[in-house]
Formats: sequence, C-alpha cells, structure tokens
Amino acid sequence: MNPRQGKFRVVVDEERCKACGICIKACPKNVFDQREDGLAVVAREEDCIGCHICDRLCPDFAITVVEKGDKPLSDEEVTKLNIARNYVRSYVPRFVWCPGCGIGIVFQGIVRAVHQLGIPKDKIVMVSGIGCTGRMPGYADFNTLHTTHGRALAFATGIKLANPELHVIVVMGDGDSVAIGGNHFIHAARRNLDVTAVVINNGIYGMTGGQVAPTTPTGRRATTAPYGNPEPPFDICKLAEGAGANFVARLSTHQAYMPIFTKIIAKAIQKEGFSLVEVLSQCPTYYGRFNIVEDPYKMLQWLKEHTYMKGRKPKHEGDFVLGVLYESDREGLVKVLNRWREEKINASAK
Amino acid sequence: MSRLDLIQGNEACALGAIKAGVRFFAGYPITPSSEIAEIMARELPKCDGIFIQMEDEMGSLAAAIGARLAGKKAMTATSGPGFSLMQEHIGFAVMAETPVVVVNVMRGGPSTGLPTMPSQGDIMQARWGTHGDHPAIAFAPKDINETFWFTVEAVNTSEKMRMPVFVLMDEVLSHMREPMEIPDQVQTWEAPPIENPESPFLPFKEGTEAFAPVPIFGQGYRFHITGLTHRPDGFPTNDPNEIERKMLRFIKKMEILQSEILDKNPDMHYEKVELEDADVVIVAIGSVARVAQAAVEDLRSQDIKAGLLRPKVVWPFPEKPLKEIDGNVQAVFVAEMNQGQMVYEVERILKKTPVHKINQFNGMLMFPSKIVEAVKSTLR
Ligand SMILES: Cc1ncc(C[n+]2csc(CCOP(=O)(O)OP(=O)(O)O)c2C)c(N)n1
Repeated sequence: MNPRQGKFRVVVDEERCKACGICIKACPKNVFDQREDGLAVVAREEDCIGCHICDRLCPDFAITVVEKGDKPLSDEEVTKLNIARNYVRSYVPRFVWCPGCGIGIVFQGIVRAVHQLGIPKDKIVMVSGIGCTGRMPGYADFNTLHTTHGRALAFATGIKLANPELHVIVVMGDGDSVAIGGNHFIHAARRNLDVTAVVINNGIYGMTGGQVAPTTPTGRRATTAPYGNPEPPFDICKLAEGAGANFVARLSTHQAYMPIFTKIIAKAIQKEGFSLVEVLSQCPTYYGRFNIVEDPYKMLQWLKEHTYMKGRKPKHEGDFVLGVLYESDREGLVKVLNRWREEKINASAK
Repeated sequence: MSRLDLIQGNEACALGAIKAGVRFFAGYPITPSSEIAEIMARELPKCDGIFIQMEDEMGSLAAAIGARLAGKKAMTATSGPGFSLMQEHIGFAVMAETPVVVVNVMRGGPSTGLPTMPSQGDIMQARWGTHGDHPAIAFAPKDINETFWFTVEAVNTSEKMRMPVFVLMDEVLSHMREPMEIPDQVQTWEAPPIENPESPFLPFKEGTEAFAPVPIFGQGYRFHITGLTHRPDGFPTNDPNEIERKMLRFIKKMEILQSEILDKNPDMHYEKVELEDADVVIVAIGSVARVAQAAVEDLRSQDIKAGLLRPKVVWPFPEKPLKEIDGNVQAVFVAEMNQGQMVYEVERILKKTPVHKINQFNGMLMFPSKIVEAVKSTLR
C-alpha cells in the first residue's frame, strides 16, 4: 500500500460538477465512481494519494483535495479550503463552459499562479475579448474587463500605461487574439507592453459554434471548413517571438496538474515586457467532436500524445512543442517611456 | 497669466483637452486631425501624461477607454474613416458608461473621400453610428476659441454623464488660425471619489447615471465591466427587467443632461442671431454657421429679415428654440456641407414652417452668396 494513502480528504461539489468525467478517468487510484446522472462521486477516498490530478484538471473547480488535519472536516469545510475557488466571484453558480472544456483548467492555472506569487487581487486586472475564453473575467475575483472581440490587448495597453502598478493579465481565444485581434497582438508584442497574454488555443471558434480559426490545422474540419481546412495555421508562439515578445511559452491543458503549468504562468506574470503563454486546450464540443473525439478525457490524452517538451523529439508530424520557447530581457514599455521622459524631455527642459 | 496666441483649430482642441485634465491620448494619424495627435505627443509627456500612437483606430479608442478605467482622463481624435472604425468602441464606452472624448474632424466621404477637404457628412454617424439604441452628445464649435472651450466642455460633460462625448470639427476649422486667449486654468469636473464602497460593489447602481463616481480599477473595490448588457453589479444578464433597467439608464442620462446642464445654460446649447424679428431662419453648425452669419447680414442689408439658429451642441439637438419659432417665421433653411442630414432633425421638430435644404458637398466651404441666393429665390 502507498504510504500516502488514507491521508487525504476528497470532495466533489455537486452544484458545480458538470459530469465531464475527466476526474473519474484520470484518477490513477480509481477514487471516483460515476453516478447514474454522470456526476462524479467520491467512492474510495481512502485510496487517494494526493496527486491533485483530479482537482487541477477539473474545469469547474468542483473538486477539492486536502490533507487530513487533526480534526475531521465536513465537506463544506473542505471545499472552503479550495484555493482556486477563493478567486471565483461569489455570485457565480457555475461556469458557462461546456462539460470538459479546457478553459476552466487554464483559469485555475492562472489563479493558482497569482496565488503562488502572492499578488493581491486588487492589483490584478484581468482583461478579455469575446468568445468562450472571454467569459473568464466575469468569474474572476479581480478587477475585470470583458471587452470587444479581438481588442483586449488594446484596452490593456491603456490600462497598463495609465497605471503601471497594476498587473494586467489578458486572456484571449485563438480567433480573438490572432484573427480579428492579430494586429493588436503583434503590436503589443512589438512594443513589449508589460502585460501577460494567455491565449487559449482550442483550434476552433468555440462561442459561435465551431467555425474554422486561423489556428485550425490544415485538413481539420469546422462548420465553415466542411471539407477540411484548406489553409495553413498560425504558430502563435513564433508570431509572438517574431513580433518582439520578451517571453514565449506553450503549455497544454493535459499538463495542468504538473507544477510546471502554474510555474510557467507565474513566470510570465512576473516577467517585464510582453509575455505570451499559449495553452493548447480541448474543445470537446466542436474541435473534438468534428476531428478527434468528443470525450474530454480522451482529448486530453490526445494532447499528451501530440505534444512534446522542448529538447525532446516529436512522435508525429505536426506535434506541438511545449515549454518556455523564447526569452529575452528587453526593457518593457513602461520603463522605456519613463526613461524617455527622464532623458529626452525633463533633461532638455532643464 | 493667460496668453494671447495665433493658434490652429487642432491645436486649440489639444490644448483645451490638456487644460481640462486629459492625461492619456491614443490615436492613429489621419488628415485633417493629425496635428491633435502631434501636439499631444509633444505636450503630454511634459505633464505626466501618456501619449501612444496605436496600430489603428479601434485600438486607439480601446486604449483610451482602458486608460480611463485605470484612472486617467482620456481622449482620441480622428477623421472620417477612423471615426467609422471607432464605432464599435463608442458603443462599448456607452455600455460601460466610461467617460472618453472622441474628436472627429470631418472630411469629405464616403470612404477615403476627400482627405484634405471639409465636410459635415458625419453628423448622423455621430448620432447613430454605433449599433443599438444609445445616447449621443456632440459639440460643434465654429471657431478657434470655441474649439478650445468646447473641448474643455466635452471632457467635463463626458465625466459628468459617464459616457463618450464627441467634438465635431471640420477640415476648415482644424487648419484655420485665429488669435485666442489661452487661460492658465479652466474649470474642470472631477467625479466624486468612491469612499465607502458597499459590498458587493455596484458600479451601475440606480442614481449613478450622471454626476456620479466613475469606478476605477485597482482601488480596492473589485468590479466587472462588460459590453454585454448587465445588471447594476456589472455582470451580464438576459433578464428582461434587468435589460430594461440598464437601457433606461441611457434615457435617464439624456434627461439629466437636458435638465441639469442644457436647460440651465441655453448659451451652451445654441446661439440665436437676430432671431427676434426674423422672417426667415437659417440653421447651421460649425464653419457653415459662420458663412450663414455673413449671409444673414447680407440679407438684412437687402431688407430681408433673416436670422440664424446655431446648435453649439448638435446632439442632443436643440428642440426648444426651433419650437419657439415654429409658425412664427416664413421659412427655415438648413445649410450643411453634406447632402442633407441635420435637416431631418429640423423637419422632425417643425410642424408648421416650411423647411428648405441648402447643401454643398463638393469639398469646398459654402459661400454666403449660396445661402443668400437660396433664400431670395425661395421668397420670390
Ligand atoms: C466584431 C465581432 N465579430 C464577430 C463576433 C462573433 N464572435 C464572437 S466569439 C467569436 C470567435 C470565438 O472564437 P475564439 O476567439 O477562438 O474563442 P473561443 O470561443 O474558442 O474561446 C466570434 C467570431 C463578435 N462578437 N464581434
């Protein structure tokens, strides 16, 4: 028997669980059972080894795993200890996202990174465009701004320059960031604007019902690419690097339980200048159903199979490289403008 | 100490904005408004302000709105094609109830049209350009002095009303030079601070439609802003009652603007020139109003009792002075540098008086003789 077994409390919040089944299939110790209505129930809590695969992969923040303390805790008390939920606004009963959607997983990664860094909620502004990803700020207990489709980075430019003390995290879908918002994206990178851009790349337009995106791989299907996408996709990371970003990383939602996931997001938040984190994410409803598989857990497995860490070798053509892909130490825009003011304006006035 | 200077329209606009407290400007170059950006680029860094040239006009207005949400009074300036591109974010600023000033130096259109020639072709775009029901406020200065002061008023009004406000100039006004006395200081309006924010904080609480605090990010009361129709707490809603409640705020804003600002200062809303005994009345704004004034003098010298009604704020349109003359004058002439836009508003308001159009849309400022001729041939 694993020495860690028997030391953890595991609680599923029925109100939030959307029966996507990820936790049930991902748990290495088979702690969960599936109820008739699909919801996950904790059946063998004593077998839990505290690996946190289930709670970190839960898109709905519905699972809490904590080490047992001296006194026994009720389910409600356990749920209160969920760090991620502490960052969800109290008015939010459930997220709007489909069961098994990767956006909630990335959301959790972001709030855990903020928590690790210890940045007060008041000092964070989360900005989004429009799309499924765009709904994240409405749920996050930060200063939040849900803008227009594609323009989040332009709004963020004004916020950051007007008050550089604020940490600005911009979350965007792939269509949002590099189709309609492509111009703002490359210019924010070029300026080395001090914001953290998190692009959730599900390879398709989620919100509008599965249309082709500039990130849809050639040949993949979408409602507006019924014979497969004839066009080549963007490589968002290369785009950011080429445009001048200071920090470029790619993650995948299947990594969400690994420390590297939050660590890289945290690093991006801390980094001066423009940092980009692209997170490959599953859209089971459209991309998965049209192209791979509708089951969210199987989508995560597909992501694992078709990605590789930087330095390793890809298994198939078209596999995605993960990790910190580029880093430089150019001065961020805020510092440049301050220095300019000192050197060129105040000095010449003297 | 104020100083007397010979300044250009665009310069007056930029200086007025800075005096009124604008400390953030984002823009994209376009003739004939570019000097506004150039002056902002030169002056703002000297007074702790931020200038940024964005990648396009959608981005410019977006950045300005973002800056206001982070606490700096903000403005952008553009012309025709850029104004078209800004429409989506004009609607966003309305929905988000965020103060911001948008200057549109009107040039000939449609499309790229006449980059260096004047027009008044965007009067209706300023009113109805963005999609959905929305209020609109637009100042229309006629000279350099007014350009300065109306820009100050536009900044103050947008702060008071928590919404975007336009300054409609035209190419003539933007590039013309006139002497003007630039004051050291102007009266500004500062939104009251939020001292004891309730929890949950309600950025759109009833009673905050106008003359209310403007919530700012990073002050300890966390709130949400969205372009989706939302509840008083800022979160999106599909509840018909909540939707109506939000939409009524826009109507309320305009009622407050009318009763608390425009009715109390009719001089701010419109100017009447020789209306008391007038038989014919010309309605005109901006540089065309100057032409119309010359036409009035000319007509009077020919024993035709002409007068001028000049909206200084074109949106909301001054209804009251028009209603006052309705039925008491022989005819009203609406002179515009377009194919007829403001005339729709005049026709809507006047029930008993014939309305005639005087339009010029060849890129040239109208001559007084055109108005004089039109009036005389109609009266004949
Ligand atoms: C100007 C404009 N054009 C189109 C839309 C419709 N629209 C909303 S979301 C979206 C695309 C969403 O896809 P993506 O950005 O990849 O984000 P996801 O929903 O997949 O997270 C589109 C086209 C819009 N809201 N505004």
